[in-house]
Amino acid sequence: MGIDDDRAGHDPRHDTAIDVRALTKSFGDAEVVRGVDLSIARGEVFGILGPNGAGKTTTIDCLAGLSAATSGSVRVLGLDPVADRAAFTARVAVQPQAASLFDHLTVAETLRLFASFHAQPAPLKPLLAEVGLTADQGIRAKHLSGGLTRRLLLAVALIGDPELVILDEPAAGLDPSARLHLWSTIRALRDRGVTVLLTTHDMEEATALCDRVAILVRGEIVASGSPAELVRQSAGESAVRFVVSAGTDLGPVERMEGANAVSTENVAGGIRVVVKTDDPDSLLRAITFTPGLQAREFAVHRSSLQDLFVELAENGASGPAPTHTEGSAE
Amino acid sequence: MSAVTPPTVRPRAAGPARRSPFVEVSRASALELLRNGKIVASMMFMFGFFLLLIVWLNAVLAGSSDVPGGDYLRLNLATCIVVGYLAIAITGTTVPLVALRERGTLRLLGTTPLKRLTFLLAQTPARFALGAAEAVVILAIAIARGYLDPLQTLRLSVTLLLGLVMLFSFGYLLASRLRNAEVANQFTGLIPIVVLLTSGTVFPPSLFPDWLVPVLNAIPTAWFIQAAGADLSGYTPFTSVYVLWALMAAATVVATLLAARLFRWDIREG
Repeated sequence: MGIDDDRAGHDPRHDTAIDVRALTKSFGDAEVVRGVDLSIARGEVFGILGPNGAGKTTTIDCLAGLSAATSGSVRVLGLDPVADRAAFTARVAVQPQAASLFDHLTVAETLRLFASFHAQPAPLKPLLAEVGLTADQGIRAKHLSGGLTRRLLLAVALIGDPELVILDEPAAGLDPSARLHLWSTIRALRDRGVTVLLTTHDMEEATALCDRVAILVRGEIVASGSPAELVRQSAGESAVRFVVSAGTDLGPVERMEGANAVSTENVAGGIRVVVKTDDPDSLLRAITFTPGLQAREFAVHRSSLQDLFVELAENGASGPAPTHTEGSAE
Repeated sequence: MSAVTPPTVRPRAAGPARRSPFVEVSRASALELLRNGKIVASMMFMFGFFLLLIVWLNAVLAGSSDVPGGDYLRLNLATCIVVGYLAIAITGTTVPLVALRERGTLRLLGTTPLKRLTFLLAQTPARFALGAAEAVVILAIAIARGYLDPLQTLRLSVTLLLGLVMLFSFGYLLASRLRNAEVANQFTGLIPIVVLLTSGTVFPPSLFPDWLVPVLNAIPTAWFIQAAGADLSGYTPFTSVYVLWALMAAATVVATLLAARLFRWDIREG
């Protein structure tokens, strides 16, 4: 899965793997993808996040050449995915979200079949080991569990030793163990310099795997950047929660440096206090050492990509202004 | 893009020697066919049922003055092989291909460098073997009953080969755009009925109005039945067998090119 500069269409001077400009895709009157711009670097793991129906799969289909764009331009490894089909499929692998294999072929027979389509297929045994199918290579596809089928689909995508892999919700239906295995495979791909584009609505997966993400809502990118940057710049505040006895003077808390907002609610045995802050660690120390407060039952809620995702998904494309950080999607 | 790991070049391990995609797809197609007993059974059932039916009718109608030539089996062997080949072309080829499209398997293949024509043509070898087996049965019956001399046997073999290839090409053409295996399955029942009704064996051509005869003679399956019938049943075809061969060959080329042109991996393609 290395980068072969001699392959047709690859200009080694460019380190952009995917370049998308003003991509739109309509089905009849319905505009499913609306003016998407993306620039993804070689060797990057990039995630497209979005709620169901956001246009993730349609965007992926256009990038994979499975569907022609209504307007805009798509270049992948310098190639047009539709017009330069032969060169494209030789260098880019796609794992569609919904695909079934040949029911009556075994795992090994399936991989031998797909290996024959490529000029330099990956060696079979290491690939089987990499996706965790060595012990299952004699099983027919129709007898594989959902998780093992996803692994076989991933192996089918990797058998051609691609420079770029497009994975549409690769972890869908996987149990936690299989999901971790998938993550380690994707990290290994990145370590080998393979560009990975994946879609997911699992924020934990996006945070753990992706160098950068773009959040797609109703066909538009509403935020993009590294997960950490997005959380820091968009989601903003964390919250420190604790309980104090009824009648406690909360004036010192309200005057603390870094306490952006304080709210309270009565609970059994006292008052629950919620303090919004950008620096929960410092605030926690200050509360702990404030005489007379006697706070207990501390909890810190740190802002996450999940919070931003939910906020953007609920507000939609008309919600907060798009957040594009350094090296952003646009 | 501070978080991006710079691309590195992985040392390429020596991969396996590349196998021919045609050979591998042919092998996979044969395994899928043979391991799915239902498809083979339904293909062979059409041929076997029709053959047994005409053998039984031949026994019942033996010597009847209502049967031209008095040999009902001889009269219908050509139709029998065409029905058998249609089952291979439609039940055994079109329906499985459309099912692969419906289930997204063709969509997955469309993301690989595999060429459409390679994929289509690679479906042929396993099905060709089944067609050859049916031809052997028909030839064996015809030779055993003294219908064929050596020259006719050779000429009939060419006719059967051309007819089988032509019907395959029609099967591929039918499979090129259909999205629903259930719809494809409807053709399985419909087309053999049309072939039977227009073959001239169920309804003698003398029953048809004059204007309809040229129309029926323009149907490609009629070319096959008439060319095969010329040797098997002693028919006099509407034109020479060699012209019928040329027509079948031309139809095969046109249907194959059209199938390759029209074939879509994915129902949403385009």
